[in-house]
Amino acid sequence: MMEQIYASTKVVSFSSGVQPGGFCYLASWDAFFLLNFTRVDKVFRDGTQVNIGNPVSYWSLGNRQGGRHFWFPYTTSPLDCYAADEITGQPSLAEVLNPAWKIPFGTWRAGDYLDEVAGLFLHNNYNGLIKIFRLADGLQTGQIQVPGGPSYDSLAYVSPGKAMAFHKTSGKVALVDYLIPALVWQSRVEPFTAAAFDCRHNLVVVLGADGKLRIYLITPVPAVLSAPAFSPEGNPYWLSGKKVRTQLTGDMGEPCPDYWIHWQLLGTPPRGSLWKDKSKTDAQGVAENFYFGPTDTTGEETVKVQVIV
Amino acid sequence: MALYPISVKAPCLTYHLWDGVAPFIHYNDYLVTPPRVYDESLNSLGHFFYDPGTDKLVGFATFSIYHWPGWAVYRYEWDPVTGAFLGRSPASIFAMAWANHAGPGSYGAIYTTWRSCYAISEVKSSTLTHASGMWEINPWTWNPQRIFNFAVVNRENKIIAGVGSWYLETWDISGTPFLKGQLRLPQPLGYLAYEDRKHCWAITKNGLIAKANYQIPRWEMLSSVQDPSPDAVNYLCAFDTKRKRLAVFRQRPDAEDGACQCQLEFYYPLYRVAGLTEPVPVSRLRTGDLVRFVAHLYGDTGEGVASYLLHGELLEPATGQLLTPMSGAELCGGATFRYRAPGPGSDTLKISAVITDGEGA
Repeated sequence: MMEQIYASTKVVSFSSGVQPGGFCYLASWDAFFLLNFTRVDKVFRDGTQVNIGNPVSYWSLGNRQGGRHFWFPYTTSPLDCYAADEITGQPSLAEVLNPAWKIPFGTWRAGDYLDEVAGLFLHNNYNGLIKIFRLADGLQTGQIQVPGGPSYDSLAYVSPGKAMAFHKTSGKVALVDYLIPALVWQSRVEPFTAAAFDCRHNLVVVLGADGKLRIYLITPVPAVLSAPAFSPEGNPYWLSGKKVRTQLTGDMGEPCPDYWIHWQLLGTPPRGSLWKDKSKTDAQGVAENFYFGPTDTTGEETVKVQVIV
Repeated sequence: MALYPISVKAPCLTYHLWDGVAPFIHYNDYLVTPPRVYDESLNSLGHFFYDPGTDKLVGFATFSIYHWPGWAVYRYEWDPVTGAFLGRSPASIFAMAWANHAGPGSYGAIYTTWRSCYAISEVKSSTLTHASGMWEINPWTWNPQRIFNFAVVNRENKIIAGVGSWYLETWDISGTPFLKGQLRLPQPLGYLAYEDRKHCWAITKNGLIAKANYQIPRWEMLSSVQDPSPDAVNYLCAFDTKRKRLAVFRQRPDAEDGACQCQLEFYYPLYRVAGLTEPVPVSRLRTGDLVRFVAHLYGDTGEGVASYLLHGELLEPATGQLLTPMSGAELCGGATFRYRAPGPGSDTLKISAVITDGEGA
């Protein structure tokens, strides 16, 4: 579960059938574009909502590399994807993002993702399957299967090569690296109506059914701190230090970076010694230390790790 | 960039009071049915533009009237500084029935699109009629063919910017006309106004105002009229090229007694602040950590308003420390404040901005 840091007191009004992918973070605005049936709005994080025009009938949205969005007319297939104007948020007909390959029926959904820099189009297929197509010729170059993953509703830009998939009814999110391609980790937030990724501050921002915006850190709430283990496995040899590791993860196994882990030897007095009494978890949620055994004997020693959440 | 309102002239039209005498033939009896007391009512303002030749705002309007023949067409003139009514004179029905939407363009001339044909023509400001020898072009002969309801004529650079329905199109007419680009309008267009050889202004029927560089083309700003009224029938705009400001005609339904409620509004293309969002945390809330808060200064359509200093303050009793007591608004209007809490607790962060008079509200 990701850590929620904010819920707006203002309520955003939206149509009951708003598309989950119709809510995009625009980096140049540092705010969100909301597509409704009869209006398009600019929405700030605190829920301030300003109408900036009407939508194009029978057009829908997807997210785009760099914290932008694109439009496509979904009644005509195969699809042309159009860049969006950064002042009005409306489609810019002069800029077709997929000139070489029109996206055929069956390989697109509202909320799909386009990276014209890497030349890739990501399509949310079904049951956690994300297909990756090359914009140059439509060749499927890879796919990412999220284990136990739902049919994601939208994908949003996180950083170069990385995108986040959102599923509204379960609140599941998945960070994928679409250049490798591979799943990085999964987590979840409260179920929502629409979601966007604030790539400037690394935040998941969701629009709840109650109209409130909720902001989550990309880091999950810590749930499990693994028992410390030697790495590589084996016993320490007297005074030579041996690396000992622990991993802090969320309830779906996602890593929790930037937490201070406190290390302690429980023997009275301790038989060996630790290099540090505190260390910080890295991007994988792993904190490391070194244990130095006693000089004179063999035996057992208990290492205790703690974390302040 | 948001628009800063200068003044409002309301109403900008005054109807003729009914003298109580019913002629033998009369029309539109609702006009004089109590509580209504005027024998005329504005139907629509078909043309609205700044005439650089006379330095006046000009409008052509159709009226429903009580007397024969039941309708009338008038040419209106207003003072471009105050919006004061300067006079009206009867005009030909063809100024409304044939000419579509007129406005200024290159060489200080007035140009119009037509309901009666597909051409864009230079016309006389006084009558909106085209005379032989005047400039004209026919977009129906272009490839693909075009019919424009609104057009901006730039003969110096040989550019036409026109709107048929949802797109502002730029055509290069230096040789065989070709489409340079399109900009989608955020809402159905109310009027299009020429500013100069690069820029034009569009106002939508719901009161959004957009400025475009039509030569590229690209949108350069999106804003709105001040306090858009839900009962507004239409909005039209004209750009006063002498004073570099925008005039907006807001057409509203008549009052209960039949009085005109239309108004003229004047705007400078300057910053106008509409609001400041609440500061929202964008990083982890932990004791000892630097916590970042972001607030946005925004204009009428949510456009970021830059170049202002935002001031942060922790309200008493404060336990934490605000490390950024002031922060400049970026282009998107956002400003970041940094805060650190020494221990568990709660603090209230107040953000404010001083907007000096003449720069915003």
